[in-house]
Amino acid sequence: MFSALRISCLALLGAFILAVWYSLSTSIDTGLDQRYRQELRSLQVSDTSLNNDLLAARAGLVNHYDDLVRRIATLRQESRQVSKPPAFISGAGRAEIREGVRAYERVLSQEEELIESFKFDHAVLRNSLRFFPGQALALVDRISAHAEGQELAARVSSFYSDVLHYYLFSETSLIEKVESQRVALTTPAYPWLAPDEAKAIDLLTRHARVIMRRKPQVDRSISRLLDLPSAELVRKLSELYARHYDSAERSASRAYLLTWLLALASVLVVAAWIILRLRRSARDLSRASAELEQALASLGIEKEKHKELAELKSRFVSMTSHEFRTPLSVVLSSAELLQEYGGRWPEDKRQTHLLRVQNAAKYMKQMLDEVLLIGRVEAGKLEAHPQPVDLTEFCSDLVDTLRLQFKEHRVVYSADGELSSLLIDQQLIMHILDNLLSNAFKYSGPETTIYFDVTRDAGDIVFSVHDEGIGISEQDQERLFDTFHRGDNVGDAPGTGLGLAVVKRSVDVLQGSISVESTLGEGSTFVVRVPAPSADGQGLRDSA
Amino acid sequence: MGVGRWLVLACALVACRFSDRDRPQEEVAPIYRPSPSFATVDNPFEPLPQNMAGGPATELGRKLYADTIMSVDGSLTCFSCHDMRKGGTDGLPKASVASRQNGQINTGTIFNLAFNFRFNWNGQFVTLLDHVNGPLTGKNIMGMSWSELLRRVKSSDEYQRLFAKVYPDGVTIENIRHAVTAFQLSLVTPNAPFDRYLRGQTQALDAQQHEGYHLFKSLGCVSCHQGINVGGNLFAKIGVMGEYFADRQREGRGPLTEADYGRFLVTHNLLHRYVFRVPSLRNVACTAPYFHDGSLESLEEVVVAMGRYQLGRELNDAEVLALVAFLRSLTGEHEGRPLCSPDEQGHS
Repeated sequence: MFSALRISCLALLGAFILAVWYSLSTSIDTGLDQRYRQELRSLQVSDTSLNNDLLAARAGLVNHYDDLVRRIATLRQESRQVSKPPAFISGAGRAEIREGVRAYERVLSQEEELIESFKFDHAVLRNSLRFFPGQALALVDRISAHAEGQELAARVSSFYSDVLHYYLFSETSLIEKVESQRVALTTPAYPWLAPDEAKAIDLLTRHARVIMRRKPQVDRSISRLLDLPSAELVRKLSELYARHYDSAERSASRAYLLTWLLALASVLVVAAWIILRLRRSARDLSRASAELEQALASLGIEKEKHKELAELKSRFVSMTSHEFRTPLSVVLSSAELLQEYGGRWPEDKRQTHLLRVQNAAKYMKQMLDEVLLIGRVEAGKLEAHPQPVDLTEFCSDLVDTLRLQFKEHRVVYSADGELSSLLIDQQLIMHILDNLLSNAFKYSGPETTIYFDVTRDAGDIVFSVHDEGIGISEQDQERLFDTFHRGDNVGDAPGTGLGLAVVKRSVDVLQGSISVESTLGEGSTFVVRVPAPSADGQGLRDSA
Repeated sequence: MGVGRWLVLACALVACRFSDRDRPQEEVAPIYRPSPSFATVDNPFEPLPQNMAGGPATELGRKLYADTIMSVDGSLTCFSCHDMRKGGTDGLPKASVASRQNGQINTGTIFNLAFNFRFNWNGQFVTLLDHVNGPLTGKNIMGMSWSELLRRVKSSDEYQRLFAKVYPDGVTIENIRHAVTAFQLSLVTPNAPFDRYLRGQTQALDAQQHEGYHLFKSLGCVSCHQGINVGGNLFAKIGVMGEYFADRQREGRGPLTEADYGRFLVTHNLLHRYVFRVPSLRNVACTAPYFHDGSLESLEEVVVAMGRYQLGRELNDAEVLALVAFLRSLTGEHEGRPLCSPDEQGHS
């Protein structure tokens, strides 16, 4: 689900975001900040100095305008500098600062225009002021020289002092007075004046007029200049920058935090991924080892089985060959005897040997049958095929057959309960009862009694076979149902060692149980209990 | 793995955010700072600096100045009207070389422009860089367009090479403008007798010039003609104390023209009618004829007119001669020689 491509894409994206955030977090350049703040301070200083220059020029402390001109050029240059705030300030902040600078530059243009007016008015004013006092005093002297000149000289003198008084102290009350004096002086009422004296009076009044006009203009320019809010605007600009610097710093520290959080998260994700991978591979490993163990175990079992089977086979082969040797030697010897001496022997003796051959062959056939039966059981091929059986009849037939075979024994047969129609595998019951009853006859002496009871107990059928024979030792009871095992006390009684093995396997196939009680020399009791439902009940259930 | 490459790309992108950091801009018109010793209380003047070394752009600007590619028909150079032998002017009453007809206004000098606060008689241009536009694109002057000039300069291999040497971005309109301006700024005429006097050589002025200097200050000329450039740092109305234009017409020196409106043509403020930039008096003896209308030929006439219309007084001959003598002490040196010889000064 996580292809290598997708993971590397994610990693690249993460690295990119990380790089962007990191660059944002380090975007504040303190050098640029310091420089910009320095520029703002320079602008502030120059702005204040402009007023100083202006007042110095006005007061005549400086007799040229170069300072003012340079100051304004400096202010233009500095405001241009300030209109480029550092790049780490947000776009909106930069726009706001630029707008502030434009507002300042508008005021600066107003200042410049006022200063232009001031410079010219001031120049003209100073020119007239240079000329006016000397001209007035010289005129007073010349007019005084005339006999009738005293009154006019006094008026010129008064005019002169009023004009200077107005200039020096800005007494507005003098404006009207000076004006009326000027009008009076320019009215030609003194025929005794020389033409150049009249001209001089005219010139004097013209300069007085210049002074009276230009002085308030100069003052107005100065006061309007001082009133302009340029200092306020520069201060606001500094505040604006400080505010935007703070917010830039805040966003930078936010980016810094995000950078570290993202880096931490990336580390955690990678760690979690590695841990998950480790755990998954550990789980895979343990599952694989469990499977391996299981496989090994089953291999061991198989091997064990195989070994057992091989053992069984070899034991079987050795036993069968051993068991077959006796009857085969009987057959061989009787056949040789019959071949050698058959022609000379009497009829009955020949018959005896032929019977011996027959018996041996029968014995071998029986043994082979039982071996085959056991083989089928072991191969799991023996299955129960229940069918309705009249057990009473089946058992009495069996007892009758055995009675004919073993005529010297007594048989007490009793059947109890409803046995006429039971669902049971007749063949398997046959194997069980035939072997148990044959053994009882075989291993008990003549004139002993065999007790054969068949009873019904709940859904089961219970067979009990009791004899008064040789009995079975306790050691032999332990291996009673092993194949080819025969008791120590069987003597020369013929047997294959397979009968009880067949019984046991048949009982197992019928899902029943078998028990034995025996005492050496006194007899044995075998009890077999197998489930046997009534065929009627089955029929009823079927019809139901 | 490609991660490294991606990281580099990311870093480059991030770096781009800061790439538009302020490039150190070459100071085109440095504000001249006087040495403190001359910033005295009583002295309204200051000598010109003796060494205004031009940058590498200066020579390039001189070449452009002397090149006919600057005029649309290829017939003129900048020097056609700003003749270095004629005090940086055309020596004509009104600029009529370029237009081949009657010009509007007297051609100004190109010397000591660095110390003027405005350019053109009416102060139309605040900086020299702006001012380049005026003569270059003026219909009756060079009649050029910037795009055409750029094309012409670019098509010259020699200019391509020279510009590449001076400017990293080669030939651009801004760089042409800068080179021309740089050349103009280098045209300073130091070591005038008056400057030598200001520097302490009292014998640099003769007795008459001393007298003239005294008059210059006491009469009030100095009210406007002050500072390092002896003027050139304020606007003034012509005819404060007299009707200059009416008198001019009466005397047959020409009727009122549009150009006489002066600064009004720029600001359209009625108060700015007949207002002109006060010209610098440096090298004034070399730049006849005089006034914005070029209506006066000699310095004597000029002094008389100034006294009449600006100071409101009639100057006597002795005063006029002394003042003219003083004005001749304002002639500085260009390339080690006085801008004009004393006998051709002011047509006296």
